Amino acid sequence: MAEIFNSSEQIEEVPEIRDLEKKGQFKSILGALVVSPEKTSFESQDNDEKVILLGRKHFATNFGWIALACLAFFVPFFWGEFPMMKALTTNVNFMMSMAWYCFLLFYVIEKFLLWFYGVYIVTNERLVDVDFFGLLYKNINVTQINRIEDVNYSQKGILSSIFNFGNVVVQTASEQRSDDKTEGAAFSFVSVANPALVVKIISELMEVVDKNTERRRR
Amino acid sequence: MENIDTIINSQITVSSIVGVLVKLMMLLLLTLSAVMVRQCILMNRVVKLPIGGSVRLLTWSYFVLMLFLTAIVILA
Repeated sequence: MAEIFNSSEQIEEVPEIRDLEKKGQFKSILGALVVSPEKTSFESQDNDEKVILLGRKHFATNFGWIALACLAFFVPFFWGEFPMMKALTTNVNFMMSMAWYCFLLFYVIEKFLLWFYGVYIVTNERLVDVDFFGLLYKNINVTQINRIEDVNYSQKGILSSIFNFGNVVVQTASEQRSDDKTEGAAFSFVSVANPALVVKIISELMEVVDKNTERRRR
Repeated sequence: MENIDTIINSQITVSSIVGVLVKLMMLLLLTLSAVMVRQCILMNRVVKLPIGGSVRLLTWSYFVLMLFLTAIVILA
């Protein structure tokens, strides 16, 4: 990929990033939004490309499966009440409980992995949307910042209002449908924390890229 | 002939059926945990994150635990 301009120079020109870096906000690597994350890279990253923003679904989106796992934890305590279970020997009953907890642990780890690695990355050159669905299917979308036409976000529901998360939709010049049927456009960052901030940063980055392109033309 | 007699005389109880099903489930979970380890390695290759190594260690630990428990359950 052709080098357009110096990456560090460009990032300094994004006021929102500069302010957040000064304040030291959004630094937790397990957080839903990380500004200028350290030791973070992705498969097709260029040498001069710098990750500005790393995000994933808001932690509140995990409440459903966490509640389900908590309920499932107590199920073996009560299955002795069922007449069929009383017919089982103690040995088989113990094996069943063990298999249940193994399955529960698998469910929790798998859900955590999908949340942890289902990220979107904003660099000084492009947007990368990494989606994992189940264990065997991944979908990765990449677009250049200068190909972005419009950025907007929406917040729906009580949880998203309380915890401040929503969907950020990025419209690109080559509008393509995502492989993921739950997403409208290819670049839908679903349940993003602080969507207003994300939209602001992407908009500012678009302006910087436009300015730099203009400067280069002159 | 002796084999048929053994089969006819053996008692199939609910416990024995459930026992076999549990063993099959443990084998299935062991296979899934191996898939999970592989997938975690691939995910870590796509996106390298600071605590990616620890997450990979977690999936490996789960796989080893499953291997150990599956061996116990099948031999029991």
